[in-house]
Amino acid sequence: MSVEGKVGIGFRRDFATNFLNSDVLKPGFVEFAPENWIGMGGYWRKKLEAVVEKYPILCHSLSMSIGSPDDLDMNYLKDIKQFLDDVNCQMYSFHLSFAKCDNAHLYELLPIPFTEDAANHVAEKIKRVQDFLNRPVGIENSSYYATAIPEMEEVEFINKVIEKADCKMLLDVNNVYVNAFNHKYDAKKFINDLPLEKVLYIHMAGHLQVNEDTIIDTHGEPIIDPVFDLFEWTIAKMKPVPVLLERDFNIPKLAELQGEVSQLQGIVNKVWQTVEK
Amino acid sequence: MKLKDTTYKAYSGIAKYCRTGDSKHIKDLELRQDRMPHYRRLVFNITKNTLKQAYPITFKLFNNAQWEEVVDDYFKNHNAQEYRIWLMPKEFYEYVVEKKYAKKYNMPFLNDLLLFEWIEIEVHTMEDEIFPKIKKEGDIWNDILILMPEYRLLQLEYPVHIKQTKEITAADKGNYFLFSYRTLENKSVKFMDLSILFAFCIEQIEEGNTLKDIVKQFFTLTNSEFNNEIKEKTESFIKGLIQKEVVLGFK
Ligand SMILES: [Fe+2]
Repeated sequence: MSVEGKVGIGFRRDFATNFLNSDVLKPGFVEFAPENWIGMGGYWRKKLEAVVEKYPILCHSLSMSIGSPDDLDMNYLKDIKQFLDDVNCQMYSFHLSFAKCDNAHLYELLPIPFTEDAANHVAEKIKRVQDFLNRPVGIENSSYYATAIPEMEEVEFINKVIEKADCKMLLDVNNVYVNAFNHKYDAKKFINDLPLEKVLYIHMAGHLQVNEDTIIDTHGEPIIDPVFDLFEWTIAKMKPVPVLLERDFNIPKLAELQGEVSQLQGIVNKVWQTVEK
Repeated sequence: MKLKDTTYKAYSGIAKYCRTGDSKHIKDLELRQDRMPHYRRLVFNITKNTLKQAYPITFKLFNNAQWEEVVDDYFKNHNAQEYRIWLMPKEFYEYVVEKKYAKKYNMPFLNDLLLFEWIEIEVHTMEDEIFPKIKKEGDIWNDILILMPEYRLLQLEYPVHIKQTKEITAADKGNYFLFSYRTLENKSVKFMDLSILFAFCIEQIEEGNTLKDIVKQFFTLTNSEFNNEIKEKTESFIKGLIQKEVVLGFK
């Protein structure tokens, strides 16, 4: 089943049972974080299998830590490869950030220094990941609150990495909005400067403004209107790709989630209908 | 690594700051210092919340200062190796044992309590096992019994699985056996407190011995007397296991 132009949902255990036992939430595909499922049996394995049976699957890794100074963890990559095969994963992505350093996992997305040597280092690792997995990967523009010793702008860094690694991009429109606000740049200009033809799929999410100059990318709130607007403006510049709604905290009733999925699908249909026909 | 030293130091400084909350690690870095506490909070909360969810009884048992201290020490000093965050709490358990917090906090049962809480997660999430072929009919005493493979058998020093922690005293120290398994019906986790005889039965059934031989061996080893009452109790224990689908059948 094709996922282009479809709106999907990031799978959470919090809503798994309701989701599978009703047809309130009707995504066009489902995204899994492999790390939450690899090596898990029992009750949750059954749920996972039920989802895989019913929906096309995309995967998004949490622990790749591609930006890390540490080398790739080959055992981890083996597990990922197996999982992607097991769930018949159609597209695979991870963040352009680091979550492990000095041989310790931190389980959060930390900002890569936007330097020339870091760009080369990351690009080389991405290449090795693509070779090993034998599939293209999408690199997500991460939200960040501070970056150390920057030698270049974020957009230049992303472009450099994608070009050198010859990989795809996962465009998180909310992250662009959050970063543009936090670092005071123009979101539309930023998006215009991205390699939009390389976008594998899109992430959409909500965020939380914590003070007058800082937004935290929480994935715990509904998407706000300006992010919907930026999304509509962005996809008009692109060919149809899958669009994913991320909601990781404060998970609302399924009907409310479906409301957001429908709103996104409405925009997608409006903008991409001519392309699809 | 082809990273410049300054770049590596930026990475490492950010990571160290997030793990310790000590701004000395980032003070020389060119970055928005005022935003860094968000990272420290986000990073630390992930580990703290994961541990709180994994160990709810331990969390309640500790006072705030103890909980903050042990989690802070762990996060600062232990290099988490597990890429799956839901398995990370096992490393916390091992850390607490190794660093002897049970002694420090005068909670001799602490290690057992953490293990008890951990085993529930482990049994609930452990990978599916292949179930062996069995015969439905057989003789409890003379045929080899087959156990369902999705279980753990633990030996504990303190009765953390049957008593409230505040009621456990030094006098409770002894040998306790905890059997935990995942039900076939809905894959939920169940616990059973076992006597030493029944724990021995489980262990020896797994080894492929018949109940008759197991019991004989037990009473020889313990130099005690096998009687009708024990025989009846053992039989009803095994019948209970069959009913619970812990014993699947016969070889
Ligand atoms: Fe995202």
